[in-house]
Amino acid sequence: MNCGTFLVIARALRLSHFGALLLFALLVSLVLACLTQRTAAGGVKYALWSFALFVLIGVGVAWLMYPISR
Amino acid sequence: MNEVPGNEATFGEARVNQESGGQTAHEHNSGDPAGSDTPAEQSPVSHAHADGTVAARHSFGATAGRSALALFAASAAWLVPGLGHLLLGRWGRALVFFAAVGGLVVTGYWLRGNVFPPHSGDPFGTLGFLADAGTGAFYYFSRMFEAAGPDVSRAAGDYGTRFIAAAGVVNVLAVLDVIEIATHRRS
Repeated sequence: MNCGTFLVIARALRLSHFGALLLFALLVSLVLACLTQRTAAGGVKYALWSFALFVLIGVGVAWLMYPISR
Repeated sequence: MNEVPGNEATFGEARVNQESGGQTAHEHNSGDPAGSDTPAEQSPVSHAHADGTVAARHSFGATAGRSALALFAASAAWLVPGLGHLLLGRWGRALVFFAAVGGLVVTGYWLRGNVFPPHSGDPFGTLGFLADAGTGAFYYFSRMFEAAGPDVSRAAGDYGTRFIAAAGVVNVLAVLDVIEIATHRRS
């Protein structure tokens, strides 16, 4: 894929801030689950828990910072 | 060791004791009524030492082999995320690491995040470079993906910078995991 194609795709798929948070939480949770858990069941549980905490804490911090953004 | 009658038993005992780290072969020979003057009776001791040396050499060879494998797999894991796990036969993990690191870094480029150059001249820039360089080959492809250069004047560009740095850190963790697996510190 050359850079022109990449830019076209990038413009077509607009990622919101919340979308970026979800994507980041998903990918990092998967990696942390793989690194820390040895079983598939434990990995899934850890990934879900980590993902939920990423999103909840991210939204919580955003909510706390909302007054100073204006 | 078959030239001298009875040597096998002595040799076996000496080896057992050597493995347990307790007595030496000399203590076994001291109880021998025939004495230990003849060269034929000294041979079990030398055999025992030779066996210990060979075992130690094998152990050293195995350790060196594991270290070489760990170094090779770690280099591969850094260069191409997931390749180290692939070389060690961990297909699932290899796929997850490649998808996760690749996804993070490509999203970072897509958001036009900042890619730190090697010689930025300030400590934060150096830390940023170290984090970005953790992505291996992806770091050197940044110019291809970010033809227009970074744009951190928008929040999205700043997010992109964090995505790229996080990808590098995650890949460094994957490299450490590869080293632990290759050296049998981890299953």
